[in-house]
Amino acid sequence: MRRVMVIDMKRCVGCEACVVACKTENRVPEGAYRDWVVQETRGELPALELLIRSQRCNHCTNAPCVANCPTGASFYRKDGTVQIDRDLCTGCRACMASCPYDARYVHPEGFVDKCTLCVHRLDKGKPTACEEVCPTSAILTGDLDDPSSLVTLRLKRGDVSVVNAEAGTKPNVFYVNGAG
Amino acid sequence: MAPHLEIESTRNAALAVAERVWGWEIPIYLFLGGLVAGLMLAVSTSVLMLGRARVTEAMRRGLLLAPVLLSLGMGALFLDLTYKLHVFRFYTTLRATAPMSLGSWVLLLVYPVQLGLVLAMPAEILRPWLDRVPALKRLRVFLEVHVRRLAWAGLVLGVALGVYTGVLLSATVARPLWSSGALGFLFLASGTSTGVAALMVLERDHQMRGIFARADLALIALELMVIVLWLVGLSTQGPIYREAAQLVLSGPYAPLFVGIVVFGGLLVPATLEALSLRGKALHSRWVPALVLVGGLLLRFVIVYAGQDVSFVKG
Repeated sequence: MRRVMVIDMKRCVGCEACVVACKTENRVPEGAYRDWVVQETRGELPALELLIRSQRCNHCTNAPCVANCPTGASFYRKDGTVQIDRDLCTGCRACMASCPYDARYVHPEGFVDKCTLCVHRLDKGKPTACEEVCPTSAILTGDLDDPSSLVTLRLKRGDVSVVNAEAGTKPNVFYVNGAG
Repeated sequence: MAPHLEIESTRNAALAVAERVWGWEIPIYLFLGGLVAGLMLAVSTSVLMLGRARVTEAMRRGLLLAPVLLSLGMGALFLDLTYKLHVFRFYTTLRATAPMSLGSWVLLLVYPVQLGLVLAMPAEILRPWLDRVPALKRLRVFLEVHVRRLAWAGLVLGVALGVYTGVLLSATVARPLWSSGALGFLFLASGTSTGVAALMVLERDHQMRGIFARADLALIALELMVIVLWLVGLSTQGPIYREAAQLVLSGPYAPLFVGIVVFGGLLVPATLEALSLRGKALHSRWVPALVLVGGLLLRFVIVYAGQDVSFVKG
């Protein structure tokens, strides 16, 4: 199993419902975020282009946070997602220094925290919190090893990209390109 | 004209991004770790090349100082942890891919070797204490016999400790300024140079000070070469890496890096050391002090500037 997320930038309207849902579902402390929305405006008037992306931990296949964690607190789950074992975390923040997405934060209790891809929900057959509340169905989670899954079919159609590909971490959050 | 690009993020409005992951504790630790590695390397090399008889009182004091400095550095590391109760977790696993894990174990090996070297070559201040305890006296005699083995261990662990302080940064993928294999060599050269400089501050023997000055001159030349390789390498890798290199070459960190680290901490002391070796200037403790200040600021600049440029947009 290889769990991935596909986010359609053509559908995303930047309402930030995903951010609110995540904070509520995962009890993310004040001032911290497991996901966030980026709005990128390009070009010159009147030819402006607006890209809206809901971003989070990319659950990279080649995750430097896992490689650099000195205690094994950051680890790959069997489904390919990157998780944190709070009991092993020392708060050294080597993982935060290693993340090309700045997707991690220090929880007020001392351990490092980030998006879990809501595996506690996925394991029960429910969608992630952000996917469930997205009003435009821009967020899709699924198993890339399953040839009939919606994420596999969507990625096969192409016109997708990843954020910060130059970091070489093989991210597993894919973005359907916005109107060019 | 470059096309307009504006990026807004949920997080920009709040607090999350923009804060540095690592603060003053890490450069202090990297400096003290490098300095201790340098002290071990300098004394171990002296034992192996010149013999134990040539080990001066200043070198013995340097050896005595090493575990104290290393403990201060580890204290800074401990202060940096946000989950301090879990510090023991470093020693419940060994992770080959994580420089911080390897470094933790190297530190654990460094202490007994340092203790062995201190006991085999005790400083004046320590000798009366050692002579009072028969077991320590016997241990000292035993260690004196094996001093060359200890020196070899000191050499290997000194290199490991010195390189690790640089690899710790370069292993992170996210910071373009640190994305260079040169950092391990740079921190090793700089750490050894600061170790030799510390011995020059302590040394009273004129001949030995000359030997240290020659060694430091070679190390400074090596350090300058690695700095050039590191920055040229970054400047030819791509826009984000060029931006990172510009931070220290012409950006906000340039006065510190070019002015104090390179000029004040490397070029000026190297010139003064070269002049003193030719008899055109007196050996002064200010010269190695400049090397030490330069070494400390080098780590502050690299750790801080490294966190100011990342791949993240929003």
